Amino acid sequence: MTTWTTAQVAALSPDAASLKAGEKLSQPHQWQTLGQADGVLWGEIKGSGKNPYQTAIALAEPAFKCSCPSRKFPCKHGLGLALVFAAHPDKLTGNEPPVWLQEWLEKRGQRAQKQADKAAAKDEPVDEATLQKRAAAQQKRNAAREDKVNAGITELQRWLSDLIRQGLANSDDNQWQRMAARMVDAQAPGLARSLQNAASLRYQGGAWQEKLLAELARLHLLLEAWQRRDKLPADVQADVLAHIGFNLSKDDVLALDGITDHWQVVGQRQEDDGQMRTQRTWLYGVESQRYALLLDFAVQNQPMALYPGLGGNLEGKAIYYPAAIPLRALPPIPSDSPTRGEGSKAAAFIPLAANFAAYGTALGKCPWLGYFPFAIANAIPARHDQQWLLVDAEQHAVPLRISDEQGWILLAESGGHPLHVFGEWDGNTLQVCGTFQTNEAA
Amino acid sequence: MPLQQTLLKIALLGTERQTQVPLGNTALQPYLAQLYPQGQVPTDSSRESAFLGAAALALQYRAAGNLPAVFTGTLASPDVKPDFPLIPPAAEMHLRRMLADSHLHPLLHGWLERVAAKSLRVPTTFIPALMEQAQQSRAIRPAISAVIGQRGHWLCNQHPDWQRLLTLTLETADHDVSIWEEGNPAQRAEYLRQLRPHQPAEARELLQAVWKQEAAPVRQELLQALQTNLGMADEAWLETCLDDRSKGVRQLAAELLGALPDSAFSQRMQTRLVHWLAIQTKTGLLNKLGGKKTLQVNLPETWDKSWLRDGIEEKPPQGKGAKAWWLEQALSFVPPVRLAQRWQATPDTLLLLSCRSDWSTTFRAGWEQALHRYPNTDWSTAWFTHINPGDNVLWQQLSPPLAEQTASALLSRDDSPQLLNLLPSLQHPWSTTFSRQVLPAVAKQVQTTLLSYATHTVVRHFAIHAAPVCAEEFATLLHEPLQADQSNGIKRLLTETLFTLRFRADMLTALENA
Repeated sequence: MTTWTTAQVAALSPDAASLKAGEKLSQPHQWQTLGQADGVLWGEIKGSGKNPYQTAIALAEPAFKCSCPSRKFPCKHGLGLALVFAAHPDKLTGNEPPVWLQEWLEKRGQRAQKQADKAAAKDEPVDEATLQKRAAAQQKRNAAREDKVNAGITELQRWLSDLIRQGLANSDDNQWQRMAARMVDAQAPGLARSLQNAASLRYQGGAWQEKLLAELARLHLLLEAWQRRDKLPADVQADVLAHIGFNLSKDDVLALDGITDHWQVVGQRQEDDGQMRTQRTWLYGVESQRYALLLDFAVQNQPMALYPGLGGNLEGKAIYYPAAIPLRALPPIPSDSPTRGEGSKAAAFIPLAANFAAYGTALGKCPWLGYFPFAIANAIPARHDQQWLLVDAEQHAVPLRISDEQGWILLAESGGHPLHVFGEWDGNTLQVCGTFQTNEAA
Repeated sequence: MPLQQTLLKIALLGTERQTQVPLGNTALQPYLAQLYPQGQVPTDSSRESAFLGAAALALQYRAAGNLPAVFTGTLASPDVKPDFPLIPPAAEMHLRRMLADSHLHPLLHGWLERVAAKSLRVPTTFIPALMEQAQQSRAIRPAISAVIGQRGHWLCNQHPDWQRLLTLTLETADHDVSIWEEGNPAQRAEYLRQLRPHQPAEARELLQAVWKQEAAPVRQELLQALQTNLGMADEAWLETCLDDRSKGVRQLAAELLGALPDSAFSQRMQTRLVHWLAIQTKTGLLNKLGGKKTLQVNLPETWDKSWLRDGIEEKPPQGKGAKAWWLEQALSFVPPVRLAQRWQATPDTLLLLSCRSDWSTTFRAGWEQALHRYPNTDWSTAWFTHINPGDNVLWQQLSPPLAEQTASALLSRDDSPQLLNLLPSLQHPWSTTFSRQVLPAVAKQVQTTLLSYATHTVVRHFAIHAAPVCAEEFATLLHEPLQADQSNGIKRLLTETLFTLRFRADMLTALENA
């Protein structure tokens, strides 16, 4: 039976205000009806409208539904119901799904069917002339963009040369921002991001000069690679295109091969830059022993994709975006031939030295690696010289990028005993995205 | 110069000034040589490209070969004892809300005490937030120390600021004298407080032994322990404390001696007051026949240096007369009940006489402090009736049943809505009977007056302290304003109150079933 913890529900909340409102609706007696059957929860609660709101949750995905007018997702009623389930599962006594719930479940079934039909339709043959026409149009668009990007890159290379001829000590902030804006115009958003990133290094203190040089050197490699892309292996070409800012459409990715596995959620983290929320969900395939990163974005009130919480499971075929070190993938698509799910995520956790070795190897294949998955076995958090660290059984240490409060929580969780820790390594520091007790049945 | 540094230097100064070809180790050199043919720095535009290539090569090479650092510090030894069980998930949510919601925050302390009584602990993720609370309030520390479990104590011992906030838990308090020798100040004070009821002499001797080496604030804090089980055996030492360097310590010693009726200090102080004050029957035949009395005040003209040792300072604070100040201080060190005995007068009589006196402000100030120091139920009740029904300190001195009894007597004596304002002074969980008794008055207040700050305070206080079983009666009694169509201040306040009452009921259930 699925159980949720209140912390997991909190993680599903789109923002703090929604959670607070949801918690206000988390007392069972506030609900007129409460029930559960076959992995679906439902409840009815009086709101400001005439009729009570009808709220339901499909636990597996998870998916939420509510008849209230809120644009938040999940809305406060959904969170309230989830909290009732987390804290008082025995209060969901109803077992006969109401009519409205059956309608929702049917609609969901139909939608899934429609999507399957649509996918099937795509594979249907189209006549040769249409295909050629489409291909020609696409080629024309591609050529136009390539021209723009080419022009932008030539300009960027000249700018980079000037910069390095005069020395980094002399550069001023405006010229970085101007160049970044120019790259947006040249339809190379990846280059714009990397310029902004480099510019911001200048204000971060520490060994910023060295980090800046490394960033510029990587940028130089990328521009060189673009010029010579025809001679590169296909997966490196994909990396180059991705880092310059050519996005593959979801449909293009879906057409690729995937890996069917039993995926476990080993890491989760959200970022909010004020305009856009980014959600990073790391999966580990227990049979393939591979990692997959699900990236989701949401603007303001836009709903964020929901996945099972840390330690939860997703079954199906994950399709990777092409890359020399494939990490980013589309969410696993449930398949008809389920895997046996033999193997365990415990196997993923290895000593720090082994993680570093894997990172070094990966860097050899792709110099533009961003965050790299680290799964560290038997790590003990420690605070040493104002810096939070993880220390493994071999006395190897890695610095953490963590707030002080989170550091103390991490230490509390360990109590000085080893934990399995999953995190993202950026080459300098590790961001913890998930922790597991070492004796936990994995 | 190592390759990294050479490259960094060139990068900062610019390739324009580059004179040397960067040289790498044997692994890198062949690749560097490809970028710099014939070991020359190119003079044309390929110079910058060659440099960036070299930088990319060197930095990637180093990044790929990066090894984890070796930890040279010492790790804390892991905790060992098995911990007590966790609160149930429903309770976890209550805790999260109490920490996040200012309206529910006042419930936190009582809830923590309940969790402590059940020997449960909170999940470790809450510890930093709870220690934040412990930093802000001393009173809450014992409850927090009790609910964070041994893991929490282990964690706090790693944190220099948190360590000193921990108080003793039941198991450690067991007269383990090492706490007295090694504990933090709060733990030592508590150790002494716990020792004093059973072994008053030993507690005093422990304190005397360290007295000289402790700083004034610590001495004052530790001396508080003598309030329990105070006896004539303590007199001699307290008398020497009247000569202490610290004013705080002197005042506290005087206060303690004042509580001992037979102490020389008490005798001195009472003799003074008897000379200064007298109850006289008014002159004039009618007054004499009617037994009308007055409280006479007859103060010396000059301050006597010997008074200083007994806590009577010469110079008054701004706004007070010198003589009034001497009287106020003397009154504050004598339990009012003793004066009443001496004059054979009831508290009511004395308070009424004092109100009619020209020195009423002085009597009020002196007795207020004396009552705070030397609690007495009869005097408190009289004080509520004649002087101030909202004296928070006096209410705290009454046992909950007595406080409720006193409050309900006051409330029934006079239905003036102002008296409801005394409710916020009742800070214990109210009995069902008392809650039911005040509910109609509170409801009436909300419905008949404009929403004022005072009403807000009373209703919020009701929400936090009334017996939660009253929630449904509250909902019924205030059905109309709760269902009102427009959203106004009153509706919001009542909805919130109902929510809080139900939240508390829910909270109790969650812990009961644990």
